[in-house]
Amino acid sequence: MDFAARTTAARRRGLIAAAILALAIAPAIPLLIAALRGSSDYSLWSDVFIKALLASLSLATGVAVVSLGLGLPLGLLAALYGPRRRPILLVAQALPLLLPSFLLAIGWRHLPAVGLPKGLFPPSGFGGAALVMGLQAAPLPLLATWAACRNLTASQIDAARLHGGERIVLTRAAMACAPVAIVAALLAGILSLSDPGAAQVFRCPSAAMEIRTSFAALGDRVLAARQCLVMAGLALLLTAPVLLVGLPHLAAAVLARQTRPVVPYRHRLLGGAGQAGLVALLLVAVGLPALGLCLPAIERPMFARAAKTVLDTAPATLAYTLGAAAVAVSLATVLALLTMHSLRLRLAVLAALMVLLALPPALGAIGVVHAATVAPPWLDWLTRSRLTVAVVLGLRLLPVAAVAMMRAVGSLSPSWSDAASLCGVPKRRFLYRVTIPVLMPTILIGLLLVAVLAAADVTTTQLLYPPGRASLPLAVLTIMANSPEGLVASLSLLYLLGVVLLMLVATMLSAWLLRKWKTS
Amino acid sequence: MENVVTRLLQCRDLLFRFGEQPVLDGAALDVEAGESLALLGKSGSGKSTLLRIIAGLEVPERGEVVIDGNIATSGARLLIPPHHRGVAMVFQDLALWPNLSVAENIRLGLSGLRLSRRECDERIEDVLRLCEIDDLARRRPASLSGGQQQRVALARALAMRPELLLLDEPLGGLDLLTKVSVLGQLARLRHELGFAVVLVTHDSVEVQGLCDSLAVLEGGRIVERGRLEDVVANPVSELGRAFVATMLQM
Ligand SMILES: Nc1ncnc2c1ncn2[C@@H]1O[C@H](COP(=O)(O)OP(=O)(O)OP(=O)(O)O)[C@@H](O)[C@H]1O
Ligand SMILES: [Mg+2]
Repeated sequence: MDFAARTTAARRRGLIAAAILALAIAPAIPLLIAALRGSSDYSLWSDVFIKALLASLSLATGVAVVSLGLGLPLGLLAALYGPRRRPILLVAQALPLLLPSFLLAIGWRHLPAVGLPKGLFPPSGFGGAALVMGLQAAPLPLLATWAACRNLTASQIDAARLHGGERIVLTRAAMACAPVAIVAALLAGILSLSDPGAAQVFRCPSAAMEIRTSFAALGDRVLAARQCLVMAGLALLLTAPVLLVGLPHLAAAVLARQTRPVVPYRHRLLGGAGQAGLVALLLVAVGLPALGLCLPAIERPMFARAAKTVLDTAPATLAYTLGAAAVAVSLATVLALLTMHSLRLRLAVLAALMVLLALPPALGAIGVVHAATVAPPWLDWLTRSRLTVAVVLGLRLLPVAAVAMMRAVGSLSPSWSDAASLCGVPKRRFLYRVTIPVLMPTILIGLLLVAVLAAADVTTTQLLYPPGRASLPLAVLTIMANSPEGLVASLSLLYLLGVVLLMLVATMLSAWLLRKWKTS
Repeated sequence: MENVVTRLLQCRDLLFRFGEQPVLDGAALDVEAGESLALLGKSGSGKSTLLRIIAGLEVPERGEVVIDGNIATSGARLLIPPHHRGVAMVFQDLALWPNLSVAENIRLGLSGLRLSRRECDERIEDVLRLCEIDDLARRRPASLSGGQQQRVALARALAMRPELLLLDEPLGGLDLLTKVSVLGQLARLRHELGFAVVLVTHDSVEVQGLCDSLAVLEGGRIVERGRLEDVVANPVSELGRAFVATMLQM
């Protein structure tokens, strides 16, 4: 391949990557058209909406602050002093990210029955929502800090340790990881902007709720579209400066390959503190609400009816989650392979992915709903089916899968493909025989991650599901208002157990795959 | 012109840059058929880059690579693709494919040659025996020791039956005894199969164990080139003198 051919190949890779990203934003295009061309009976800047917008913004700030305050120190302690093997506690931290926020909120609401102090429980209003959502989002900066800290070289840390002991180690590491942690915390805040769940349960106004009201209660699609665009604009406005400053740090933390990562140091006090912190966070963020869910489920168990609901909703839930996982992970794999040769392309794609993630999920969903009303009936398989839900969810969750895949592809040694081209191994053959199998553990984890996140989503599903085909969390959300507490609690508990089980299976499976190469 | 025929490899006037920084600038190197050449140079002097250009994995901005009398690379154009050059390489990090067993590594390495299944099996068996790793055929690379992994990488390269074998510091991480044993094996194989070798190294044990001539890369060009005895008798370059001094101390 000479220079010209190389440039063409690079340009083609860039174009395909851009096309995939464009596909991810495509569902929102009908919404853009509707918002610009349609007319609405209501004014966009109503007092209610502005108030909700402000409330959402302060909630997002609260979430960012709470999650940063918890995530940065715990992430540092885990990376620097955590257990060397089996970081099961760290993996478990992802749990609150994977559960629908309303589910945990239901648990919180049931807590006072246990006799906990009345002033604090149930957490309610703005403070309660910020606390609960901040706790739930803390794993994001926590895991980002952990990844960034692991990327410091072991010798950097050792040098700091020789110079001034653990205090210097901690300050140096904190300064190095702070940019990443802050970006992750802000991202968590921005994500909470579009999460109607907890705010709904705690009865504090939020813009995401307003959009849903415009859409469902007022039936005004154009208004919903415009509100959605305002939210998207706000998310963009907030994301852009964060990315401009933090992207290189984020990219280095998330995508860098590291030859000699930091090995945790044995330190009784700090190691113990880190472990205790992780356990405490998990107990408070998941344990307490799980307890809240357990109590009514134990007092008035309705597991038979709950199981029936689970079975009834299983086909739809599986179709949505598995479909979304397949869409997201296959596109993500392609994206990761396309960007493996060029740092600049990788940075650009990462930035675009973060922007995509920050956009409100309702954007694509309302866009598709709008497209469905104007599209001819023979296109229903595309616009009003289970496939629609799966595809829109998959595109929505593409950033999550893509970051995981890009990280895995970054750890492939470039000399593997050099050796292959020197031997003349056909490109496709190499892909199937080496690249894909080596990526398989990450592909499995990515599939599971997207599936669980897709299951947890209620925004997209609620807007798009074909009649009678609600997913399990959606069913819980719909029956919440007028069903016995015992049933809601039993259902939520079953769901929680299912997710924990799935995570266990996936972790064990990928660990087994990795071990297989090492020992046979 | 008659000596062109015995020249296996000729590199002329290579210019290669990473960004603005020239790595190779006017580098020229000839290797004769069956020769075994040690390539010395400071870290970062461009030794790996030179090998990659010879193999066709990188394209220089200027200059020519001629292999066996055929122009393989000429002025930023790749005329012969890597796998048609009769060149095999053992990489600095060995580049064994981690998910495949030893035998599968060699088999996939042969897949560019369009051999029949039987020919493939025969070659694999041959080369496993030659490199004395027949008992490891079904193991995965990660379960092998450093020396065993070197042999596997070597076996994968030799299965191609190359005329020129490029070795990029492949013995770096080995202890002295293992290194001597792998070197001895390499020397024997070279004797049996008659391929030429370019070995990038910093180590006089490797040079003495395998090489009959020596070249030094410095400032982007080859500043010293000759038979090992001649260089030892009269080193010209700074690195050459330092190398000979340490070699004679031993
Ligand atoms: N991908 C790259 N991008 C930019 N510069 C590079 C890249 N790869 C190598 N270089 C630079 O090119 C120069 C030559 O690199 P090369 O790997 O050929 O050196 P080397 O002689 O093999 O060094 P070593 O003995 O350490 O292996 C170095 O200065 C290096 O910094
Ligand atoms: Mg090198």
